[in-house]
Amino acid sequence: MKWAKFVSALSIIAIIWAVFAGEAVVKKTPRTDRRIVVTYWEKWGDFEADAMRAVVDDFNKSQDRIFVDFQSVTNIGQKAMLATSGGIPPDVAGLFGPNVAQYAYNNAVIPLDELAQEAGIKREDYITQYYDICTYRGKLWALPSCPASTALHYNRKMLADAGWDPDNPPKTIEELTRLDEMVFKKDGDTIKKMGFLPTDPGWWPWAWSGVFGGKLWDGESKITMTTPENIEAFTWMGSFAKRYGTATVQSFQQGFGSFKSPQNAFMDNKTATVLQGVWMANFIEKFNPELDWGAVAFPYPEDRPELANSTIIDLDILVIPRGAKHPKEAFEFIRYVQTQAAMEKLCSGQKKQSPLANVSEEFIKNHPNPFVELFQDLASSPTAYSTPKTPIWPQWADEIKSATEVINGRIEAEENQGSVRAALQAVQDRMQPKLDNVIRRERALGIYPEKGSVAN
Amino acid sequence: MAKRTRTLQQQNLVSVGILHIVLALLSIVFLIPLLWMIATSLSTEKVAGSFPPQFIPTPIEWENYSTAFNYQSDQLGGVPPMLIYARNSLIVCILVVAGAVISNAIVAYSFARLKWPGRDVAFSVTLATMMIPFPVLMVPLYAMYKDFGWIGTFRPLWIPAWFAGAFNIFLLRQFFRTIPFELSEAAKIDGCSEWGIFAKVILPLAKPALAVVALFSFMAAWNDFLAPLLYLQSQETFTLALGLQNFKGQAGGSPIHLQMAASTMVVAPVIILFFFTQRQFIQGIATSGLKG
Repeated sequence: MKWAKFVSALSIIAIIWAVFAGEAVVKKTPRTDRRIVVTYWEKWGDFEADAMRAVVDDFNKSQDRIFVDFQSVTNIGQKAMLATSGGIPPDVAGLFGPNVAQYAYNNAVIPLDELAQEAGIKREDYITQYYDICTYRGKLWALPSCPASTALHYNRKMLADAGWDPDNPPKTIEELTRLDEMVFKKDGDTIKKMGFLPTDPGWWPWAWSGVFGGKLWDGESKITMTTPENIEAFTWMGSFAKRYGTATVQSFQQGFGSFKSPQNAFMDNKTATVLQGVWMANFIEKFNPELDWGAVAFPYPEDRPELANSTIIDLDILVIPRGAKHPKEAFEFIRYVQTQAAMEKLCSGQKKQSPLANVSEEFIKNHPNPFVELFQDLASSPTAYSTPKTPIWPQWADEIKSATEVINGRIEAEENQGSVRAALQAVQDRMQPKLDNVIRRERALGIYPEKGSVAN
Repeated sequence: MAKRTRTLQQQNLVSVGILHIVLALLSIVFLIPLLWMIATSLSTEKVAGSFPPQFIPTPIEWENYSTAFNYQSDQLGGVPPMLIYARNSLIVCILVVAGAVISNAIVAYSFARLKWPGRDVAFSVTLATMMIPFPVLMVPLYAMYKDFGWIGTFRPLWIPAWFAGAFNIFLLRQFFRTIPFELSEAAKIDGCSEWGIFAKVILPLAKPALAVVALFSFMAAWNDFLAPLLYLQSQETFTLALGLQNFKGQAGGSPIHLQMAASTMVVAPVIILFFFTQRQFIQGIATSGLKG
């Protein structure tokens, strides 16, 4: 009986402790130095977070009015949206470029036009493609943090072994296809090596369109999945599975380790080339530092040299969620990040290029990526492209992914849907009504401007 | 006769043996993910991402556990985040278990032992709520908690547990119905009130079933990911299940060996708890009509 009483008493104490401790955890104690605390959520962990934390520390030391509380938050795209709708967002959120349209459309961020104007921040200060990622329907909703662009990474030894001059990597799509045929090695039904595999790692199934000069939409209201350029692009993408057999390629790919491992197909000498971003150098350094590699602009179709230097550009952005407690102070911090010194410190710490138009010599000279200049130059290329700026992009990208699975024969097509054109048409048919709905709502809200005034 | 008995015994032995072999093979299927988790938690980063996976990693990296434990300590003022997440999980679990045991017992008692108009209809409606999946309720609940000012606090995670849930009500009701009504009547004749009967007669007899409710609630609260993801905002308030996400990097990169070391640490208390309460747990299930 005594034992039962003891357990009961202990339980009651535990419950009381839990209630009070739970409330105490949530309650924030104000700073003793009376600085305004700006809460900053950032998506990155690891060394990227360390680089941003160093910039935050510099900012906190540079003045005594504002203290930026840096927090690394995963799943930030959803989390920041939820927090904003919950009325308790952070003051600054570090999102991805494609989030701009989604957040702006949902009224989840505040426009920065006036604040940027007051601070003297102009489009010309940046590589304009990056600045434009921060705009939607004619307004500025974000400012850049670290950018990225992509290039063809190649394994010099594998090229040499196949009889290809490693100092002269493929320049055209036709050369890349030829290289693949030269490197390709099969043992029975098992593929051992490939020159290029468009489905590895398969992060940008939509991007082949840009390589062939295609556009996924007109930049405003009309999806254009079935243009001749797009059909050519996706046919080329599907030609690898057609040439070697869907099941054979699939089983080859299933043998790859995870992207971030020494068994990554490119680092494991299974594929001689890969389309990857500026970050790839970090992974090579970490998992296969012995790899003799290089990077060049992704090849262009032989008959269209004007499409040379194409690249996917993407950008990390800083936004001020609607309902932030200290928007002005939050912008103070964002403005600090835009200064050349802070931006270069951040970007070299994150081992990426800079989004700014002016870059110091030291930045290039001391950068850990030996090909940083290539990535920096590619971003300014007129053939650089990014994801369509629309809130339906996540669903649209999923639809394109499914279409590529059909084109590669990995998903059985519905009746009469097996051709590239039919697969792309299916994407268009599913997504156009959704885009129409978005525009209808934007018209009703008065945020859909007239044709010609919208940056893509 | 003795020979026949022996043959029967041998046959029994064979069938039991086959059954055990089949069960052992099936258990391996269930154990593989657990073994992989433990093996990966002891691998180096290079080995962890390899294919096919190594179930006996070489070299064995015990340090992964201390690294995972201290991962991102600098973000929370030098305190290991795992410690903070564990404290938060404990807070939520204590309150959820207490709330679930008390509230479900009261409601189930009412459905099982008291007669009141519309009782059976109310019970059917209660059971019907089991058909509504949580994602359907997510949006209205979020809006409601937002109006209450509860977002960013632990309250949305534990206060609902104090209002009983259909599954646990059903479980306890079934158990309470097996207790002879004569006991309640005898207590009533002795002058015991309804609360007295509930607290002094029924509850002590229902310990196995209450233990099952407590264990189920604990496991649900401990492993819950979606609700903390929705309602918690800052890292200081994250529970263990949510904190594990910190090991998941962006752009395909995540230190999977550390993630698995942290996962092993998170799963361990539940497994240990299950081993300690296994007897009560089985007893509770067997006597509450839940077994097949």
